[in-house]
Amino acid sequence: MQEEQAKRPCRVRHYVLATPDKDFVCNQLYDFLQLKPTPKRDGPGPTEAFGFTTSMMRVGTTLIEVVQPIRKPHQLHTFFEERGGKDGGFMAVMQTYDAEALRNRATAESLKFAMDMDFGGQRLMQFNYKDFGTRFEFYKYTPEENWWGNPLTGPYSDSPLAQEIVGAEVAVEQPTDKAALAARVFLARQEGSSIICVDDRRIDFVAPSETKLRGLTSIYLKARQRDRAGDVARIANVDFKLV
Amino acid sequence: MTLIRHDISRRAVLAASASALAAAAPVSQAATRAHQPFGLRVARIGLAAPSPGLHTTSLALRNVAVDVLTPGFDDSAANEAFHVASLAGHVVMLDGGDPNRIAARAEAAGVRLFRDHTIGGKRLIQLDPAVFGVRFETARHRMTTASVLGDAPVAGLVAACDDPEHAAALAGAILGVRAGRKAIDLGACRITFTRPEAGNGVRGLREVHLDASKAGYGPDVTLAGVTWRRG
Repeated sequence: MQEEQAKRPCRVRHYVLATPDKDFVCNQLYDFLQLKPTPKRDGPGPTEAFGFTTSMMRVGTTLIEVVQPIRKPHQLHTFFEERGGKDGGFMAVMQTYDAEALRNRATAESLKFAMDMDFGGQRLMQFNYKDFGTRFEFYKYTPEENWWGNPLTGPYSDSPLAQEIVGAEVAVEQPTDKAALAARVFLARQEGSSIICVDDRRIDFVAPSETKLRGLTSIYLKARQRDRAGDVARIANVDFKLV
Repeated sequence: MTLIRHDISRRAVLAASASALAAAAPVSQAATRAHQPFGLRVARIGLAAPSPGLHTTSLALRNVAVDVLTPGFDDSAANEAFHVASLAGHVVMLDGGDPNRIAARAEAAGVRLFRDHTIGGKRLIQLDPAVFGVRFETARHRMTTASVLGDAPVAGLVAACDDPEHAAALAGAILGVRAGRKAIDLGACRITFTRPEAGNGVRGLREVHLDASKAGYGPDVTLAGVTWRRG
């Protein structure tokens, strides 16, 4: 059983945008995705002790999280400073089914985690963003299907615009090498030179450019109306592309 | 350099709360009744493409099309998504501008884009309503949807925002039009910025002024939080 878990490919659970103005970005997302705003919970949120506030929304089975720092110093401020003050795509959150096996694969590739700790009763392991272009943060979820953000039971509306988040793009130097490395470490399938498929989702690695700073640069959404395929909304310097 | 033509057509989009209007009558009926004193005609009633969640009623004027939008789901939370927590007009669409140049000017001025969309290969942008009270929108394609235009020319719009002088100066610089102390000039139509009324604090498009030289207008009427009056 344990051996089977170790071989299960990792899975994309949600994407994180970082911004100094969470309400503005959330309203942009609600507007584009035609979502009802996620109700705010009473009292301080679970992340405020860690120096940031967070809001979640869902498209299909994938969550979008928007985070805003509330104190200095904070790694989110460092993220903004490295991008000339701009907000942007901050992280891809993944699920592993065997934390120890992931750790062993990372060690075999001489990769070190920026964080390897317990968080909320879960094991959290975050790769250094310089290794893959953006932060890939892994959790071994318990329960397996419904943990952070409660994707199955949370108070989310369904987007009339998009069915599911089916992929993402990450800008990073040497994208071909990074894709091959990610495929080995994440137990993903490599397609072409710089695309990996994680479960039924894809991640494209591309070279950074003047308009695409290193990091999470695009999110692909499956449009419910086929004639919307090709339309794009730029939100927090991330292109939300309907496919 | 003027980016917006003097014969520019404009469409003001008034957002209506489903709960407010649907309580008395379907929005289309309410809109029809409300604009009768000004002799306006309903040009189109239907779903707002490409947003299947919105119903729209388009009113026909000579130089402006007005859409009354209603969220297709009756949920008060939905209004937040359309920035209509308080009833007021929320978008003023400008035809003829260059979205790329306006976006570049906005960025240089430190004004964010609420929308930066590419639809059908063409760019559509909206400026941050926190600055102007309304979202100024410009797109590569002509936005006017009303197929029938009426006889009532719009002479002016009034938008409530926190700092009218700052809004006028920024709007003039970003849109590339002449700006006065608290207003911008879009050819035949003037947009005046004002502070929110004491007491209600509502920001957004609050008044539409119709050309006073045209006879036959009735008394002022308020539709979806916007007062229509002779200019």
